[in-house]
Amino acid sequence: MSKLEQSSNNDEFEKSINQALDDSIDNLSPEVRRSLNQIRVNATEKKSTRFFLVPLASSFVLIFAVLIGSQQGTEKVIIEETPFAEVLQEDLELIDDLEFIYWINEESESANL
Amino acid sequence: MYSDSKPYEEKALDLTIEQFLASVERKAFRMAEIATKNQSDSLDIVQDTMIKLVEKYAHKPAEQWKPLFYRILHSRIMDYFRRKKIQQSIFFWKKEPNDETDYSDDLIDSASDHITPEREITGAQTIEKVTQALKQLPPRQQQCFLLRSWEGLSVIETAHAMSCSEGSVKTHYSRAKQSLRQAIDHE
Repeated sequence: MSKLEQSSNNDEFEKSINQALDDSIDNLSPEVRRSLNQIRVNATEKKSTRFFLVPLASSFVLIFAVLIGSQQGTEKVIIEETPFAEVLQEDLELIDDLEFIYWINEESESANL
Repeated sequence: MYSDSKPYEEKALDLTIEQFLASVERKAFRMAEIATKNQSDSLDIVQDTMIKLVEKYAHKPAEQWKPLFYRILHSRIMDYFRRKKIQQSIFFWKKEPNDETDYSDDLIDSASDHITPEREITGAQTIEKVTQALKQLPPRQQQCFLLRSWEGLSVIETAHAMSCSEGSVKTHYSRAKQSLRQAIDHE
């Protein structure tokens, strides 16, 4: 057999095998086709879900940050509106000093009487 | 070797990842099924391959998807054989109920060029007989023949997909053809 004949035979042989393989995928069972379809859809959906989740997560973080920020602002306002707000912010020592001065004052007034 | 006259690179330009997957999923399934001889394992392999391609390489140019897809597929098939080998060495007393071939020999080594004489083909060029003939080939020869001849990848692309040299591709391809021819001529 000449080389040319052999290569032509080889080509025919490969073609027939490839044809059989093509036929085999055309004849896949509906169950396998369904599974493949589902797998493909899941694989591509995963990607789109992932890309959808990134902005969603960022917006949640932003909203959370804004809420925390506004809550801290409210607490500050409450403290500022409380009577003796300045006193609350002073050291306890200062309060003791004030009590002592008040007591001295009372004592001196009672002595004058 | 592509079914259409239009080259893959040209078609790839206007292809979405889903369309691409739809175009290769059946071939990929058949390749995995010929290698593993198990439908559900093949579906798992195809699923892993698709997810990996979509997650890691969807941003790449469409003309690169095909070689990448088959590289991942080949790697998943080889991982399957490695897992099987480990399972068999741990649970050596168990025998797989649906195993057509005795995989007690080194599976990775059997992925080389060894062809046992008892592997036989029954029948001419029907679908069943051709797939059976392919199933009898060592995994690397199977992969090489399917990628090179059926999927129409070039020698370089096949070598890239199979992570081996171009010389190995040529050797595996030629031996696969020879074995297939012998198997079919026996009938």
